[in-house]
Amino acid sequence: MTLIVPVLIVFLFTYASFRHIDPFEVFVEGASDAIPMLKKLLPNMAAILAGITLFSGSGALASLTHLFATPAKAIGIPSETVHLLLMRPLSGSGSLAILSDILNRYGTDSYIGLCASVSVGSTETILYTIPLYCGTFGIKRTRYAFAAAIISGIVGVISGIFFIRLFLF
Amino acid sequence: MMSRVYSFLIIAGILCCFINGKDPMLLLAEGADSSVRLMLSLAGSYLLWTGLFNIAKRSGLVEKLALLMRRPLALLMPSIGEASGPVSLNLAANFLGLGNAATPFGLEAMRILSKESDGTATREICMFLALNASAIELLPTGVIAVRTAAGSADPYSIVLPTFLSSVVASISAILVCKAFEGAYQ
Repeated sequence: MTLIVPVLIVFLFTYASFRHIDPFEVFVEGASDAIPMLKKLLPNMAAILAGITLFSGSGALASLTHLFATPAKAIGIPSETVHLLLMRPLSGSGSLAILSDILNRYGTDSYIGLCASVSVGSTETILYTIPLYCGTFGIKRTRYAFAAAIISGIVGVISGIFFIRLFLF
Repeated sequence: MMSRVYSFLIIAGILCCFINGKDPMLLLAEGADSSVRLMLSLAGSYLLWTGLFNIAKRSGLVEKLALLMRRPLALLMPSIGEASGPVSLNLAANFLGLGNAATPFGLEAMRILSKESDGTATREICMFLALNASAIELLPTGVIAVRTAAGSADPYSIVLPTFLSSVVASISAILVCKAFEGAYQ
């Protein structure tokens, strides 16, 4: 598993030398193209992370957790994981911290612990990546991108719970 | 949508800070500060992967991969064109759990896809973002690390259900995008 990428890189350099490409020069040329991109990325990141850190640190999630606890339970999501599920689209490190808290509180291999683990693994930080990707390239109207990402995230969480019941409980 | 989501995060965040007696300026500053730290930690791998990507591009490998993947990807994104190379590399990097490599490929894909756009997300962009959001991953390394640290008897037990549920999520992302495509035309 850990060998896949190094082997691919060996293949890349061997292939490049057959095609008479100077890997050093071409690497530097490619990395130089990354600099204007990094320059565009930073202001977008600053705006997005300022908003996300403010929102997740403000206690807004705690209020939303109360709001979503009952409907979540109705569709089979343990209410103990709702706080985690609300943090997940916002922040990767934030949701791993909450996951760690849940695992210590309810046990790593308990039903709640397993549901929390699978939910984090099968979802993404969409409220960070979509604005970052779109903001960097001037996409202002995202149409149904958020809706599709949120719906597939919910499907991922529910099917994760289904597979836990199927395989582990 | 973007500006509404963003305004909601800021306005609701500041109001909740007032209710809960927290300092919003401190949180805003902390977030902006973390963007600089994240950028610094990302910049190195970003330079590395764009450098390697350029070698693959100049030697014709990206074009080969793009030709190979164009047909299957065109089922999802009909006018994907030359973006099929970076899109496949982004999905492959996500699959292998190489988050740091996935971002430069994802940005390259978005750069090409956004050429066709006038500031509105095209059907290809929406599909790409939705697929990225469900992120099929072979080994969720972050979750396994947290489970190990919390003393799990079997930290890897979640690998199969996680993988299967992310496959289901990806399939639903495709179906939802297709449904919305119909509705938006």
